[in-house]
Amino acid sequence: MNELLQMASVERDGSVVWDVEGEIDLASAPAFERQVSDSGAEGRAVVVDLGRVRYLDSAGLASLVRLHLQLDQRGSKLKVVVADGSVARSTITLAALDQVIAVFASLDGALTA
Amino acid sequence: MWASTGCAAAATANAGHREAAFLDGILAATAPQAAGDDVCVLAVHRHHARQRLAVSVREGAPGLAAARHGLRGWLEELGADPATVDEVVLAAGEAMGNAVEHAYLADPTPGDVLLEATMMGGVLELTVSDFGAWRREAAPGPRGRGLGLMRLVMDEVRLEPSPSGTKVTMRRSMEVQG
Repeated sequence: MNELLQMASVERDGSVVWDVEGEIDLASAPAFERQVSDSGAEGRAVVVDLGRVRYLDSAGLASLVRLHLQLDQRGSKLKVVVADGSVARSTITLAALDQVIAVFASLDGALTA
Repeated sequence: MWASTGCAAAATANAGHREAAFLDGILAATAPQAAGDDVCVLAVHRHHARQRLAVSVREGAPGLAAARHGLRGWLEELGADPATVDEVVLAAGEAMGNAVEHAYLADPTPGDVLLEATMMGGVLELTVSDFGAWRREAAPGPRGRGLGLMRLVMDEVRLEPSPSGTKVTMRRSMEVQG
């Protein structure tokens, strides 16, 4: 895994929850995308918490869009958690990606949705 | 450095309003006692030591983070507010990422990308230069989106492709300390 990015997953309420910390850019986005993609299974939502991500660029946004489409096709679902005021929240809002993917302000909100 | 009368009126022309008012204040307070004598006041306003930054991105994508960190540190040192720093770093990161991804497609080893930043008169100017060929046709989704983000967070974004490379110039007015 790229040293820019640390990520770990746990099972919670039937979902896979990824805690991601670090920077998602051109260098680290492929590994991020692959790991999240591999964790998706039918009927199980994949929650990606980006609240501790310090940098997210268009390479990362493109990964999120592809993950959204892939997981959808597999009968799974991508949910992105970005706390208010977080860097990832700003970038996702700037790019209007919150119109495309499911974005939540809290992990609990994502899990109960 | 500015000097103000009675020994040298010359340099006051270079002083800003703030400096001139400051010197006038001192002179007004001291001049009565110094009547008939030569009075010389020298004032030095120390501008921020580093108003200019230049960073190279080497080895392609893995080198992007170090260049971003360099820019972030410089902006923080200048006293820019955190939200602005995040946006500017994003714009620079996108421009550098584009260059890394698209400029050196024809080369087996990625060439350098140069990031330069200057702060002058409350305006930040960023330039990102590469020295490769710009592949307009090889620029699908992500590059377009990156450009869109750059335009959203900067006041002005200009691309200058040329046979010897591409230069992106971006400007944004921002508040800094000092």
